[in-house]
Amino acid sequence: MTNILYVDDEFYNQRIAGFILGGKGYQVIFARDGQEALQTLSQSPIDLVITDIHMPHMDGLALLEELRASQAYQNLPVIIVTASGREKIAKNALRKGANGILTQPYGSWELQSLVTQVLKAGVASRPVQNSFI
Amino acid sequence: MGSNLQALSKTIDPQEDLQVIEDLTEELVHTRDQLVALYQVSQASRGCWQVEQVLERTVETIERLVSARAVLLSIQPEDQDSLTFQTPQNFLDQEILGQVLFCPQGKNLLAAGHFGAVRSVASLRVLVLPLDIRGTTEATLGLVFGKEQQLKSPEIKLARAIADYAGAQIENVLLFQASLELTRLETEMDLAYQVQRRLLPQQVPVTPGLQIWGASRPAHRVGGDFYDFVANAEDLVLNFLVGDVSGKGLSAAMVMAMTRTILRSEIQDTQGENPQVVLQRANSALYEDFLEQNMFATVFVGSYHPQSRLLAFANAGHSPVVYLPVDGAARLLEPDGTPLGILRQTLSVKQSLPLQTGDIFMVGTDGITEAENENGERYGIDRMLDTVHQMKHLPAERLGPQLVDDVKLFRGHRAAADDLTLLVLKAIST
Repeated sequence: MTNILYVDDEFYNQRIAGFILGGKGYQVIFARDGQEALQTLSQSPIDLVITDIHMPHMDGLALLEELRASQAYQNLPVIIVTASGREKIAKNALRKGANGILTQPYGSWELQSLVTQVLKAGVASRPVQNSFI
Repeated sequence: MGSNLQALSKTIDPQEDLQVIEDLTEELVHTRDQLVALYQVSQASRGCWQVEQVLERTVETIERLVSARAVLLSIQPEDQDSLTFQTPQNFLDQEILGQVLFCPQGKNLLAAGHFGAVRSVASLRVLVLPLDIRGTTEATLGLVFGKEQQLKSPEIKLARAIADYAGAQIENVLLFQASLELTRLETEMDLAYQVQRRLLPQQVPVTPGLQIWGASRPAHRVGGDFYDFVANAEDLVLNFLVGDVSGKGLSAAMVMAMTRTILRSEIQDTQGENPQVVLQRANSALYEDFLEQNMFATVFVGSYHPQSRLLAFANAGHSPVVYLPVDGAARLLEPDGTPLGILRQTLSVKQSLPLQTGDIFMVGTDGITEAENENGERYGIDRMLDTVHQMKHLPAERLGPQLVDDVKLFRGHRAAADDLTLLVLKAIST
């Protein structure tokens, strides 16, 4: 069973992602911000992190930086979810080591496809080519 | 209000709630997917310049938008095989596909006057919508549902809208492909024009006692007219030929090249001694090919001997040939033989004409005499003879161009319908 940590302070986004990924057989765990995500990571085995950018306490980019700076999680695949029109943030995220970018609103096939590719790429040092920006 | 909320809270069943939330989430995801797919409709076929790519992307897009079990899209471009795409791939086999998307008579539904039909196939129902693409291209969209499924009107409308958009994309692609083909053909025509230009004489041979001028103007980029010189350096005999292959354009040009080559070869083989023999042998060599192509060529072969000032010639059905003696009126020399490719024997005989100083001998093609003006009048033989007579004092290098200009002036704005070739020889004192 593949465990995916979905980090977003909006319940609505959590429900949608949970529905889409749950339907594909993934186990989805939720966190409301970066701090909660780090706590969850220390308690549960996680194969992939999907995180929104704008969240209280610790935003998605800060979480990404933390993960990449830590020995335990530096190679953990991370997908960033950003709003449309935020190409700069997306590029910044990729520079900081994100493995894929997804733009809201995304279609269910886009999320499924990107997750599959990122997981397949495994411990990727480069981002997956067709991020859905 | 407070009592209403209290009343509500007593009726809430957590299990039911969860189920409701699940159902709502499913609907929400589905609606979001439709929205995102709509955003991407215009992107889906961007950069697709093959009809197959547009079809493939269209069925993928529609699949995301509707809850059909399968999406079919078929197109029948003019003069091409039909293309069909379905997703999931191979959902229906080809035979059933054909039964579903076309009328029993094999016609596309639109052509048969249908505007949508529901067809039953085994345990499935297929909503078939013909698409309107400009021109003679026909296309059909099919949405496959289970018998138990509801055909939702908004979804059908949406699928139809996407398919119509795809129809417009397909039109663009077909137009683009037609434009590419046209460019390719024009490029080939340009090349053919270059080749044909090089087959015509690049310069006039120097022949004692003779002024020579020649030109050939195809009506289209390439044509079936030709003229050529085969000079014999040893005794300065000038052999020349003028020909007109039936038809116009590329086919005439191809036959022109072949005919010219064979005539040149026969002149060289016989050393230009007998134009009649040249024509007979060329006819033998070309007859079967001409018969096969249902074509023919009128040809004039001449041989001028500077020492004797004798012009020998033979004429296989060619006209106009004009002789203008220095002290007489211009007259038309009628052909005595049949064009090459009509009979197994050309029947033309060798004729001879001694040229005196000031005599003019002209061989043209019917692009001169049959040139028409805006009133439908033809330039004609009489006008040509009259014009040449008035210009008899001019050297060949001026007479030729002026006659050609006169024909152009006569034609006015009317485009040339036929190739025009003219060879002018004028005897001068040595």
